[in-house]
Amino acid sequence: MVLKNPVVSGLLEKILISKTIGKSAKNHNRKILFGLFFIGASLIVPLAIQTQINSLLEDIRQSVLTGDTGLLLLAATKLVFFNTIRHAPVITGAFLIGEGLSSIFKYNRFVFFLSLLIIPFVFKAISAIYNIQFLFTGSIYVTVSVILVLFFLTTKIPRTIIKLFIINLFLFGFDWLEIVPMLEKFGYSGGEIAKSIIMVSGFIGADYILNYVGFTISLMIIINALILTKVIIDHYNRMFLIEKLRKTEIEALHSRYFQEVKHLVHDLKTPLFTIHGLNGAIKMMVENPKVKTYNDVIANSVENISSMISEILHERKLSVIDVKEITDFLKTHLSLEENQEKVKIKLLTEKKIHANKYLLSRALINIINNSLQAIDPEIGLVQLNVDEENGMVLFSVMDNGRGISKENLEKIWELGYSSGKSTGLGLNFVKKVVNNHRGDIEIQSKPKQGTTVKIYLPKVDLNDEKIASG
Amino acid sequence: MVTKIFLVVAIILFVPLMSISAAEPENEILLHEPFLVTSAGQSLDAFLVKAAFDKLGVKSDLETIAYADDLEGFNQIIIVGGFSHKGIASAGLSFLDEIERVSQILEKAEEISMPIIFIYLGTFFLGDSREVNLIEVITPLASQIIVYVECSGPLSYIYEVAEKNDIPVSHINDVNDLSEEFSRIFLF
Repeated sequence: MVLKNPVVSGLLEKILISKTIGKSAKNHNRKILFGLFFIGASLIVPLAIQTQINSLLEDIRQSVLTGDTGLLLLAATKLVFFNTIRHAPVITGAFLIGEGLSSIFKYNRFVFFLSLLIIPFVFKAISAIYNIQFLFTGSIYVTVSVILVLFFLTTKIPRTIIKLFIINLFLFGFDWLEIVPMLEKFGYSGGEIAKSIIMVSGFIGADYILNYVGFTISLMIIINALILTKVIIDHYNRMFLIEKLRKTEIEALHSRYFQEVKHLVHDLKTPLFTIHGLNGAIKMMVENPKVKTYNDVIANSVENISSMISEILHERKLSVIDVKEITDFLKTHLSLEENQEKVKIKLLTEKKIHANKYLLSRALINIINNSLQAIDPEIGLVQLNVDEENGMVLFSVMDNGRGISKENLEKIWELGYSSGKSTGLGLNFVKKVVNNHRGDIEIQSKPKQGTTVKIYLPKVDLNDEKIASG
Repeated sequence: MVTKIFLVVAIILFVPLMSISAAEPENEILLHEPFLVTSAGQSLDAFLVKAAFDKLGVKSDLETIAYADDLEGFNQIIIVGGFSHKGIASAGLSFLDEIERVSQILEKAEEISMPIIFIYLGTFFLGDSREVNLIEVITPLASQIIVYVECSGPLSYIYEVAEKNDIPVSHINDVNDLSEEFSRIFLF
């Protein structure tokens, strides 16, 4: 079905992308477990196909005695299938373990490379268990090289199953080359049965057929695997481009939205000016002291709103304020929120900072709201401490919530990234605000233990204060 | 002068080679039908030997897992050496079973004064000590030895034992044309 409506198809594409991106954060532990399962399976496979191997040997013997080329070709085909069946779980297991471990450790490429060293160990183990020579042949060397290349080319592709399919397709193609007599002198075919087949092919004059069949089928499979790799890489590159465009679109929307809000806020100034003027006029006209007091309260409130408006309109404009003003604002705001009893605020310094009070408070509220979403409703706690550290004022928001995984920690600042409950604009906004305040923000988190967000802002020294007051 | 020196050197080098070549006897092994072909190590080589005889129209009996009692009724035995992991496994034997079986055949052949022809093609030799063990058991008791000159097996050992026990050694030059080689080596 072709979707002609661009809006519907666009939405579907967005859903598809968000699903794919979500899956990219899949659990590496699961990969390692599956990898171990495949390695375990690879130890059983030789036993499971023992009968078929015996029948294959019988085919080779009969082809020697009868000089039957067709029978030898059948034996060669069987051998390729059995080799792939024996090799595939080892390769698959090592790849899965490598991918799993590389997402845990820092030097992921090196860790992945090290993980592939499992393969020769498994080969040795199989040889020891079954008292056979399960050799590391040419096809395995080439497949391992292809795996390394694919790992570098497909690091952004989250679908492991597709990668495994491509790798095993390559393996099947390279296994076909094991029965090619022309390659035997280069040491490509190491296995006893493959060598026997090549030996017999020379004996009964079937070298030409085996060379032709082996090369042709191998080439067909390898070309298919190459085309598939190219298609998959191109497809994902296109998807990442679409995702990038989507983020740019959100950013543009975001910016337009704030522009609209700014216009709206700016328009509030006119009625505010009217209120301020008329309030002054009323104060002059009335004698009642109670009314005059009300006039003063109205005048104060109008001034507060006016200062708020100017801070919103001039977000880069920073004034010298006491950190207590921020915590007071937060307390007032949080008293209206659900779960406000879960938030504890501790003021451990009385320093002053350069800040846009309303934007900085909004940023802190954003972080606190994220923490409130992450904690357990029963035992969860969110703590905001305002203190000094290394000559800076430190706002740290700590929670004992579910935490963030290492792979998600790298994405939280991205515009549009969301754990599922928010718009995905929050932390990007927080970072922008902190940057505007010439500050630094860092986040530490451990899954199931909690998260700490630290905002460092430069404190105001005495000279700055004098300049500001002057 | 230079030409003379060159000629002398050429004569010194080539005369021994010519004598070696001349020493290689043709059709020196007389085959007495019926004869039994068996394997020592269950490699595919025994089948290659049987196929070569078939191609020459020489009747031979192939019993890859022949026992001492099976020698009855035969004039000669050809033991084709070569250890195969897969061959041993598919025959349901262990290496110890195989070496015991081969030892019993050799013992019986000696007992009934049956000539033992040991053929070693060594086409699948991968340095396995079990193949060397089999060769060590068979070589001293062989009446005739036939080896493939380009095999990767322990030829020096075979030559040494053959020389010590005065066992004649014949050579196969092309394993892919075994029937042609046999027609040169054997006298039917």
